[in-house]
Amino acid sequence: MTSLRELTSDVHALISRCVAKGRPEQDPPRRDALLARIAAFQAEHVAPFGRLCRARGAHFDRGPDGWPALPTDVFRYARVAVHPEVDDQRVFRTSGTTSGARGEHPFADLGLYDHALEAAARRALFRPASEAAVDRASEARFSLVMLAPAPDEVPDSSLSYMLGRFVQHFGDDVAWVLRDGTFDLALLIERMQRGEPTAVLGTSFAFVLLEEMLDAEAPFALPAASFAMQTGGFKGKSRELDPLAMRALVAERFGLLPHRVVSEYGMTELCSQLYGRGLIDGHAHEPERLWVPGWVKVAAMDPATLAPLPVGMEGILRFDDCANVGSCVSIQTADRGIVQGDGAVILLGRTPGALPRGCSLAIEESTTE
Amino acid sequence: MSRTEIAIDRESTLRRGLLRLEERAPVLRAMSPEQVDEAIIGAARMLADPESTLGRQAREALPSRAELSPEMLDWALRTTLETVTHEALRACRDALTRDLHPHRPVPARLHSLVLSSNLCTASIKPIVWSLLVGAPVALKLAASDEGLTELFALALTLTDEQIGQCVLPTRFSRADEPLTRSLFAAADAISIYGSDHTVQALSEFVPAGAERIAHGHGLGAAFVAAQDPDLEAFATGLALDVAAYDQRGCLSPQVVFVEGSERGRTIARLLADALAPLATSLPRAPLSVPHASRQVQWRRVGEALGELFEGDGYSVAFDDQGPVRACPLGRNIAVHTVANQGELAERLTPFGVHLKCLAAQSDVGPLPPPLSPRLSAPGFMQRPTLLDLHDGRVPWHGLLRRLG
Repeated sequence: MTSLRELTSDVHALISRCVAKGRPEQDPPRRDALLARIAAFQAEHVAPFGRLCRARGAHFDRGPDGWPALPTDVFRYARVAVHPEVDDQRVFRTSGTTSGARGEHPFADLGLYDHALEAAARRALFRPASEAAVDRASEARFSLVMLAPAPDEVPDSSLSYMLGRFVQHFGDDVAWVLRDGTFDLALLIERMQRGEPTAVLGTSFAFVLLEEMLDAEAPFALPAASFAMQTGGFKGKSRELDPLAMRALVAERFGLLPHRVVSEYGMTELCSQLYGRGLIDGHAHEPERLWVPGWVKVAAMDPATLAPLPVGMEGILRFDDCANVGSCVSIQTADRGIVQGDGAVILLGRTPGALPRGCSLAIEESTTE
Repeated sequence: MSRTEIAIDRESTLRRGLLRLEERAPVLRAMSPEQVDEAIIGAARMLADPESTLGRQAREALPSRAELSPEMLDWALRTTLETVTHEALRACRDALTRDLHPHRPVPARLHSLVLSSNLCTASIKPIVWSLLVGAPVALKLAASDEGLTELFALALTLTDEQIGQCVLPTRFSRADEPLTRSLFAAADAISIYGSDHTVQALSEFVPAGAERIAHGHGLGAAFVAAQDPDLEAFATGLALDVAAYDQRGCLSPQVVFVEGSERGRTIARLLADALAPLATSLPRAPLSVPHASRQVQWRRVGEALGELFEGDGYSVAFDDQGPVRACPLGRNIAVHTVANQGELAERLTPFGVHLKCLAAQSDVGPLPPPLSPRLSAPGFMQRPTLLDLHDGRVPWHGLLRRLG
């Protein structure tokens, strides 16, 4: 009988293997076999996923297409965890800006989460200045500037938690310039003038707000090894910017080459993250192509049937993430995207909501006003 | 080559139309009740008859624009127009007389009505009531309006030209403030249908002294009491309510509460069984991709949280005591259980004034304010009679002023 401990250990091993020098970054058969073992285990131990698998008739021997993915909405209505509530060490929550309850992702142990986030960030973000230094990647350290709340301010935010871990793994020092919803512009400007390789990390909305505040200021000129990472859309915000304009805005503001401005795609319900390939490939793709870690499978699904679509076709994205061993390994999002032949993903935004017209009203809207 | 453009001053055109409409008010009030009733009934019959020119035109042109199947559109026309009978109009006049006695009511000089886009038949009842009380009515149709209002106005004209001249359908963008102001400035009774946001935004244009009749967001629910004997009949009726207008109405049920867990599951199964034949007799219109996407995810969530009964074009999610969650419409409904009527009231309370209709077989008992849904028998939620309350008020609310 497979145990959670055994599965967790195997996921750690897969992550290490995917980022080890001299090994292929992707090993789909190995990944899919592990995904199947995790899914079968979770179908027995995670009630909502088990019900869904029974209703849909899961076949764990057929690879990820053989079982259904749990819609992200389920995290809003039911507990999705292998472990009992009493063992919760940390609960990440969705922002819940549109309506209703916030989604919750409980953890009994963040060891695997930490391993996955560090391995992916080391590969796609905090890269050494030259390829020759890849073996000494752990030495690539940056001055970090965060345009997002610190973990102590929002302990249930997976983004803030991730940024906090970046400080430990990759930061020579850190400046959290967004505190209590206010920018510390003096601190930001001081960091920009140090002339050190700097990573500016934050939400898209914060980058836009910052630009509005710095409008009259001359652009910064960060050293060549610097980069910026922006994440998240503009859900529930009053301002919105398309991804290309966003990248141009950030590049100009911080004096970076366009490929050194990359996106992060992550969500509360997932333990792993995707990153723009700009820092890996050394040039900017338009539209931006996202790198997928070797322990994650991304597939585009037919939005009306959730059947898998062929490579290159636009659909809504399903993630099978080995690192989600403690909750649900297969997650169905409402985000539109294309999976390319080499596994890279192009994000196209969220599926537009089909809201009722006229005086008809969806239940949730009526109860949250 | 230059082209000569013909400048049309839409504001002046609308004002002139409204002026002419207002001038019809004394004529309308001087007419005998019999003449008005004959015109209304004649127009309704004309549209209800699939063999008449207008009835045929409605059935040919409206389904695609209304995003309903031809069968559903035909059902919508029949069930709306068949409520317009001599007996029904007589009952309306009697109720009006009783309500107003001993006052001398003065009808609105002009009734302006802004319609929403979700139900193609929503204009019929307010038009009928305007004519019954003697108030000419100007209607601003939604941009996506299907045209039934114009056909009904034409049917009135063909039946009785004088009555037809008391109804003025207009089309212009909601964003066109000057036209909206003109439409409202001429009226002393102003009905606004639409989302709460629309009602709020347009209310700013309502002139001082005019009566505002707001019809904002709404939804329906259903309740099965422990003593209700005939679950199958309940499910059959409610299935029709779910299927009606593909669940797009503000009276359409989105959730069912059932006393007793086992009965809840039974109702869910019976409801699905009753929805199945309607997929053939009253087919659902095709869904847009975003709508289909929302639906398939809602159904998967239903499977993860409880039990799902689904078929081609419908689904029923049974989630015992689970949370009430957003329903994607398009014939998808959730069934939950409650221990008693006290818990029912608790579960309904968050809907507040938005709960516009509650279907039940037996007496529900008092509901706490601000809940004031119209109580309906299953099968009739989306088929209100002319006399049924509208947003908890009499249907002539705002159209008459009492004197002395």
